[in-house]
Amino acid sequence: MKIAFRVDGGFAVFPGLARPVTIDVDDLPDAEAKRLRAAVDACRFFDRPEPAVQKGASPDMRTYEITVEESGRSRSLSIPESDGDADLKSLIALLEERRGRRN
Amino acid sequence: MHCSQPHRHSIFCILSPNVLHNVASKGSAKQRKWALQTLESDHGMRLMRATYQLMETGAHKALLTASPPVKQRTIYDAATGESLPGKAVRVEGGPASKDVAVNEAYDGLGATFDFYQTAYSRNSIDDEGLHLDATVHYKVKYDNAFWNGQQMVFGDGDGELFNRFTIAVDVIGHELTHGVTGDEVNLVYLGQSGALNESVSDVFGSLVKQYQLKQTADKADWLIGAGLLAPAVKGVALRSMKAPGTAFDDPVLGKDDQPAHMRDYVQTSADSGGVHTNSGIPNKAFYLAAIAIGGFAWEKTGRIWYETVRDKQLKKTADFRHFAQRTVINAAHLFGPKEKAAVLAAWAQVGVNAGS
Repeated sequence: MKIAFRVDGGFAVFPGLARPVTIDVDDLPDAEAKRLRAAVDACRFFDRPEPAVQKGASPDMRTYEITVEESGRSRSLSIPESDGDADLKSLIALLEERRGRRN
Repeated sequence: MHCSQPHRHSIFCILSPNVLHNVASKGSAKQRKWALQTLESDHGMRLMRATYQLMETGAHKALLTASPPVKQRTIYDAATGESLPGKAVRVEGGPASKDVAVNEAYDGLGATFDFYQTAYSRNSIDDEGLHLDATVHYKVKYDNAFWNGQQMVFGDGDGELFNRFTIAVDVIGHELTHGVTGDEVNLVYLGQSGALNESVSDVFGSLVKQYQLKQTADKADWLIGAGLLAPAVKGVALRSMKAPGTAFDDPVLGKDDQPAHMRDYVQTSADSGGVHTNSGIPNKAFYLAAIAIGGFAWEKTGRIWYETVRDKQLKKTADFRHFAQRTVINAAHLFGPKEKAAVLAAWAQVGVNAGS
């Protein structure tokens, strides 16, 4: 499974933070790979309806761009940060953690 | 009608928010607690009811413009949760909090209200006395601040890259100006009109700060969000209107890539077509015009931009050239040939031909 993750928008643009992060889940330590797969499954990433389009509705709010590839299928979702779905938020939290910050 | 018991109000129970705010600021400790709880639980219902009533009657403009402008601020605490608005913790005229974010939000809303009122006789964000609400401590280590169409929301920042978002008054002015723009021309948040929407927020965010510091154009730093970057970050602010592209250059954040001229306009699909990037071009134009015209930037240059945002001829899909042309026309109309020439020259220096 591969996951591409990018945070779009926000109050300012920081090229370093806007860069997409690509995660090859198969290369991760077992525990982390398991958590990520479980999060993708929990939010029914491949089957869930498209999030309501709110891009630009509230200036300076963010959108999370997530693409998941697995077993020959691929799906991309643009998720406004105002989306309240708990399972999606859990996945986003894991991806943000993975993206990391200043070492 | 009076509501003497602490309860959730029905839609028919009308207790003036002014009364509640008064109790919340001047009542006993027990009364203050009740009033704050009532304001909190009533917020959504009251907003919905008021909106429908105003839409139905259409009489609100005459009523509201008849009353003198009065600030009505309420600061809420989300306590690192996501529910908005959260718990009411400070109301208009109430005692200062021990929480610095609460007080900064309260003061920043007040500074922005006072600026618009004094400089442009604007009665709050909607020019109809909108109560100003803000929520602090939104989410955990949340690196953002935004106007959601009804209220301000501030994160605490993660502490490694960003400090708390209430720290910079120009960021508060920026966010509230999104409310002003939304109420006037509502520039479409995409491409050049989106970059203009962002730039207008930077312009008036900076002017709120300059007004507070009583700085003339040549003395201002023209930075947006000075103090917001954490100490370890290599940078001075989020953006520079004076020198777009120079605000930060950091291993984690990357390098500020705002252009200052049309030849460097960034074509991208990210960030709604680069709205926070290409805003550097109109930002620089405003700075150049303000320096050329001189004095306090809110008096003439700010006035020209403000009247352009209110200009019925300005299209919500405006590109830089259309917006620039309206600023030139408004400069001539409001002040005269000298100011018109200064605005025209400022746009020319960033590569925008504002001649008609």
